[in-house]
Amino acid sequence: MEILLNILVLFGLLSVGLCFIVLLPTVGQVIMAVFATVFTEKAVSNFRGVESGTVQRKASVPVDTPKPEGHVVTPVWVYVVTYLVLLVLTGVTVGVSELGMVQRKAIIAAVIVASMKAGLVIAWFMHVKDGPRMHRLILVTSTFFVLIFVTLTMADLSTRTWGLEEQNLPTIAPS
Amino acid sequence: MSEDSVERPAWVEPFFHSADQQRSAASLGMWLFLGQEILFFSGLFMAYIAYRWMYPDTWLAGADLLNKQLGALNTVVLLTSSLTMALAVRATELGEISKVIRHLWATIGLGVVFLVIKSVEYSHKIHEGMLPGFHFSSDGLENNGGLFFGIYFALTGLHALHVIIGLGLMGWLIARCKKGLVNEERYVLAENIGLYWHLVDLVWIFLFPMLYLVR
Repeated sequence: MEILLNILVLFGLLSVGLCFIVLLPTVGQVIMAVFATVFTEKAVSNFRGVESGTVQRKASVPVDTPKPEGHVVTPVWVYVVTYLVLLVLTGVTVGVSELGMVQRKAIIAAVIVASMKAGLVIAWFMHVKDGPRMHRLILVTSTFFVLIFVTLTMADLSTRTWGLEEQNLPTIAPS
Repeated sequence: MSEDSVERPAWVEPFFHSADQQRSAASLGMWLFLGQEILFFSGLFMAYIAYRWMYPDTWLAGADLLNKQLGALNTVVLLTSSLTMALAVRATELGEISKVIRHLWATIGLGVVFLVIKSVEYSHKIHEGMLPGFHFSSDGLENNGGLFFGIYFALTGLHALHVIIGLGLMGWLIARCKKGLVNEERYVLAENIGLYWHLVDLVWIFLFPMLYLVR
């Protein structure tokens, strides 16, 4: 009986602990998000000289009227020029890799050129440049989270020294 | 302003106020999906970065075993397909449907060329025993060569899957063009499929130098 009781208590403790481990970060994130939203709203309202918690609408424009979108068709030469620049940059990436740079420099050069190419594709082919601001926001947010992902993981990996020696793994990467 | 004064074509869903609203909602949804795709691919890129950090020598040896020429050729093919896709979307906005179909077929052709080149590479790699698994033979690789090729196959395989899905979407779009369901008012589907195809291109822009070039 006593063993059963012990198991039950252990199980209960475990599940409560698990709940805390799983729930706490989530709850914390939600609370942080709410606070961030409220404070940003207050700050923005203050900055714009508007009373916080109110939505201002321009009286002259009825809310229901759809905004004229002004969809401008991009001329063909813009696409062609973008394409040609992308080809040149591809050549640059391949050329740079032939220079025989040291690892770290080569990585940085490759990432810079790839980011330039990505920027061109995003700005002109995907119409982020002349598109709604919301698209930019989504793009920036997801890139930001990718950066958090990479930075925190690498911060952990590059500073941990324990447990790696016995597996014969390098604790820091050679340059 | 009353509901009736806003012009509502029949293809606008009842829960949207106007064609413009439906279009911007559709492209917002597509962008949310693209944001998710970036995060989705970032997992594999993170694995690449972390393992590269841990086993730099494996990566140096692995990149030498990949075919740089075929990789560069594939980059050019994919960039060209992005151009034809952008032109197809442009033609949709102008309502020139026969041109749209022509550009879409060109894009599909280039996508197929990409997949053919990729499969040539794959069959060569698998023949050489570089596919991680029972028959993996790590000739010419330092320890943990399976890690490099595991990530290589996972990243390029996932990318190729996206290419295949993109080809299917373009086929669907051509069918809709032929049914007359795409015109200068209803261009948003073409635009969204174009966005998807450009994302596939974007992923390859980062994949190519990271896997084939950097050492």
